[in-house]
Amino acid sequence: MSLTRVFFVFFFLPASILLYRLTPIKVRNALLLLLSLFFIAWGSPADLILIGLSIVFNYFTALELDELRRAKKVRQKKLVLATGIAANTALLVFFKYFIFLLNSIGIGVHFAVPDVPIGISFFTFSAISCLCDVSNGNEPALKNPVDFALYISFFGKITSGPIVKFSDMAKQIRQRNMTVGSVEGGLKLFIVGLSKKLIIAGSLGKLFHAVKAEDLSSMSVATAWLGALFYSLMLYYDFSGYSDMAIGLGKIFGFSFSKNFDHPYISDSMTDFWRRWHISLGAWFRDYVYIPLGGSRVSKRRNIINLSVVWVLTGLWHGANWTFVVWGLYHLALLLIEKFALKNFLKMIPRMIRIFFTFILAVIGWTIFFSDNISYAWSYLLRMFGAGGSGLLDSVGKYYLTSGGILLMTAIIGATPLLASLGSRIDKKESTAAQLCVTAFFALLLLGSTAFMISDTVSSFLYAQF
Amino acid sequence: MKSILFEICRWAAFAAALIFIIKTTGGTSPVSNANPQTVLESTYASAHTDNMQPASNQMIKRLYGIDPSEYAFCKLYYPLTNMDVDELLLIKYADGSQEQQVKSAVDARLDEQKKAFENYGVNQMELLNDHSVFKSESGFAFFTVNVNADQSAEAFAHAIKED
Repeated sequence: MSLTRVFFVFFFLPASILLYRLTPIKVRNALLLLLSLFFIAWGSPADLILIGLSIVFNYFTALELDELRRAKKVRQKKLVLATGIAANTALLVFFKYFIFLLNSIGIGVHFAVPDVPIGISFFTFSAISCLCDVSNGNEPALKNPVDFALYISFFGKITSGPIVKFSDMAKQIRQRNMTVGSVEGGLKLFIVGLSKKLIIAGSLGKLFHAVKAEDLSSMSVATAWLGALFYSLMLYYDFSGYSDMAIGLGKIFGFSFSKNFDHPYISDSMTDFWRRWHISLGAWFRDYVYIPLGGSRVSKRRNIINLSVVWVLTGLWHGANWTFVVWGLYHLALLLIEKFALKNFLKMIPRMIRIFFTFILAVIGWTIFFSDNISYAWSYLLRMFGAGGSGLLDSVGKYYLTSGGILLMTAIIGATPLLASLGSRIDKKESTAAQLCVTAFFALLLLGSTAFMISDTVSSFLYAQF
Repeated sequence: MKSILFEICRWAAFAAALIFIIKTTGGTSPVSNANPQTVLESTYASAHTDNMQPASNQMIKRLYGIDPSEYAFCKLYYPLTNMDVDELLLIKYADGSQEQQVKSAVDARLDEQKKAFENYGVNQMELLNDHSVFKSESGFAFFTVNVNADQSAEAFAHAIKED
């Protein structure tokens, strides 16, 4: 089931809220779990079996780790943690990377691998977070299997995250409150996310796919840049839209998930960009890979190795393709240059110029990211910088500029904090007129999103495939 | 004692997951050495092709969002007019990792066509719902919508077995 389908928005969600409200507090987690399992099974019953078995494996592993930690059996605990992480990783590798790995080493065997289970990258990372947090003593294991299963499978976050750390969510699973304020706030955030995804990302996506279908050998500089800009903004609106919806859903049911995006396109350096883009993934790699490897409190050489491991894994996490690895290495290179060579120099440059260049560097990175292979990425980048193709601006470029220019400008303005701060200022006003304006605004957003939902074949969330 | 019980339970779940994965994995099928052009000719001959025309690489990109140059072989016959839905796609993967991408592209194409004819194109909807076949095996992907779709699928299955 997708969060952007009419059935989910107008039937599943209202029914879930109503049932949740009417259910006694003691059995609310069981109800949310049932709803989550129904949500998963709606898409594919096979996914339910696999996720169910993953839940059972990780539940008992977490209990055992808790037991061993209390008994101070360090060696045994390390072994159980290692096997737990290995089993989760094996599941992820099999479904996402097995064929890629075989082909990379030249084995041309064709496997009929089953479809990748829904949200596998997200639920395995959530499970690993749980095992690490329990093993480190950051949070005791959830003894109630219903509570644990809900942590892994909550329908708000299973498709595309955010990857909520176990130590952050476990307390909320044990105790949280659903209030009128939380439902209202959650619904508003959900509607904002829905409209970001359906209205803006959907429209930008159509333009991007049209550009990508153009003949690359005769593409002008303007068309290539427009295509890259369409994609960069589409990806932001698609994924941040989903994150808003997921955080909003959590809020409705009393959870408080941290934000996953913080206006990344106003970052003034790549380091800043990665503090604002897919924050939960960055935090996961920091806490469970980078810091255990030694983080930055090691020699410079070792630090570079640690960062390289993190960025190769970050690239690979997005998919089984060399383009993702190259994209990860591209960001690694930029971060290393910033960290070790340009740190003081960057401080002397005006912030607006830094923001502009950071944005351009991010767009170049997304070009590698959206390419199907390295040679396409290279050819596309060459067109962006004027090599080959049909000059600076041709009729095709003019067409995309006129048909997508206004949407592009709107999307750029919407990606800054301007609209959000204006909205929250109006929202805080208690006058009837201001509240009416806010209500009308959200009603309009929902209406517009519904029109897109009904009239269009909505593409699935881009990050769901990662 | 508790630890032993937990250990047994978790490995039992792991074993069950392993069995489930093995059961749902179609096993290995070596990449077929059949000549893609021969496979195309066999499948095309068995299909009802009056309402199809050959597509350029550009058209394949537009309709399926995939780049034919990335595949070992990629040919499409697409509907003759906007009111037709008959088509036939044959792909030989350059590597197995392309399978998921092709599956998604075919799903999206079929969804798009259904959306276009829903509520008014009775014949078209019948073809799309009851006479469409997608197969992916031995390194080949085959998709068709035509009144003889089942025969085309049989021809495909037969052709990829021939060296």
